[in-house]
Amino acid sequence: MIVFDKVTKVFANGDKAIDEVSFAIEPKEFVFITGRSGAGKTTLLRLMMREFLPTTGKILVDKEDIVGLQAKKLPELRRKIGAVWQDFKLLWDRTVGENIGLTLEILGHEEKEIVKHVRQLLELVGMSNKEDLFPAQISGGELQRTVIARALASKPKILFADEPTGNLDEITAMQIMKLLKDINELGTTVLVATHNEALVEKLGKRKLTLEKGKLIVDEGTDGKK
Amino acid sequence: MGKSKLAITWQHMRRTPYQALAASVVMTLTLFIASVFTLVTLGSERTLRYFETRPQVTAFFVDTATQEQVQNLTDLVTNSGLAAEVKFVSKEEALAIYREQNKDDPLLLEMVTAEILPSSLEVSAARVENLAQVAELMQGAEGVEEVVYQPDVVAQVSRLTKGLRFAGMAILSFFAVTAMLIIMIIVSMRIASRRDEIEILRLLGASNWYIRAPFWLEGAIYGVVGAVLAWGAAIVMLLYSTPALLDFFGTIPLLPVPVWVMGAVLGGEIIFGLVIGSIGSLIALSRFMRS
Repeated sequence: MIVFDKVTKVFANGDKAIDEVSFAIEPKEFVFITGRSGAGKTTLLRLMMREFLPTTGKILVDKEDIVGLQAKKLPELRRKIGAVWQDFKLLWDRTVGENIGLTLEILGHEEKEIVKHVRQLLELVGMSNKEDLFPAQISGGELQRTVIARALASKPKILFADEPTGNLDEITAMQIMKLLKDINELGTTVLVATHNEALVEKLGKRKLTLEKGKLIVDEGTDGKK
Repeated sequence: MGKSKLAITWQHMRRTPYQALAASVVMTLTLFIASVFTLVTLGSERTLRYFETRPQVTAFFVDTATQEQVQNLTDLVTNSGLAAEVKFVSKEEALAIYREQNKDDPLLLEMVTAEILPSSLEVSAARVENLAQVAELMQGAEGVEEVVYQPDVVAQVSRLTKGLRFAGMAILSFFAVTAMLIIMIIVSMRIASRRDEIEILRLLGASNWYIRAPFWLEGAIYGVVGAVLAWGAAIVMLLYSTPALLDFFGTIPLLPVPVWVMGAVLGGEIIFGLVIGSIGSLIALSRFMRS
């Protein structure tokens, strides 16, 4: 499903964010990407979304080489990956429902269909009664759930959550993790970038550990290989 | 829940009403100038055609000219291929024309009889350039006392029309570029203020068209609104000045301007406005997309 083959990313200022990283993730796998802040976890997501290109190496997503991907095919790639960003990337002047519906709007769904689908997604993430609230009116955990719901709206093959529990208390963090696990059990490949080792240990899934841009650990499987 | 592109565009415009107003005003002004110059150019073309179809060369016969001499000259001019129309005006017809022209001055009418007016041959040249040749041809003919022609009137109207067209195009181009720049600046500001939103849309997999459409639509709306307002203002101005124009142009059939002409002007302005507005926004968008 996802292949990183000797991928290196050096930014214009000379910082090496990712250094010769190679791994392969099978369909329907649940994988944690761990490491300290600045280890290169977010860079992996951004490379996968092709926000920028690697300096060297090859990245395959759903068997497609995304490094040589034409610009006009970028929207197609991004629709395959549901992303949950650390900074949420929500539109603050739109309601929770409108934010989730945005993905469906982009895909060209009809109004009625959008309303129906948004309600299903809100139910899935446990936020049925929050549809008309604005992001500023909901809690951190709810913001995270909203972003997850939006990421799932396009029925992506891959869900990449970058620090989804970063600012949450332990109970809420566990709830979010359970939600991600449920989503994985429904057939989506899930990648979770986190520095919360305790949480990773609790779930006992495959773990890729980055340190200063290098992949230093690739251990365990979630039994779905 | 889902907003149409038009609704998103309308929301953008409502959030910064002064920018929208500035863009609409400059577009209206540009297209009003376009309306005025279009109408003036059409009017001057019509005036030119009017003068071109008037008798331009007149040969006055001596009183003793015979029917045969008149016929010979008529044949000569007709067969030369230089004339569009040849018309003999008898002494009686000349008197009738004189009476019509001076019907408000009985004193002038009393003093003139058909006998003192010369018969004449009035010729419209097929082309303005042929006027001198036609005059020369008639000058030497038997029975002709005098040949009169006024090439200057047509030449002057022709020069005036060309001048108006050139000045109109120059002024219009200046305003069109100004309007385009203003729309470009406004759309650029709009894009800059929504940079984060555009970035999110891109990451969610929005196509370029999905992102560009509301901004392009905004430029196009300014163009269409400006066109309709400018056209309305031109109509009001035309109606208001109709009595004065009728007085000034006398028998030249310029007014009223046919409905289809005004319709065509509106259609042309909408297209022109759409082009200016669209180019302005598309330039702003392509600059952003490149960055």
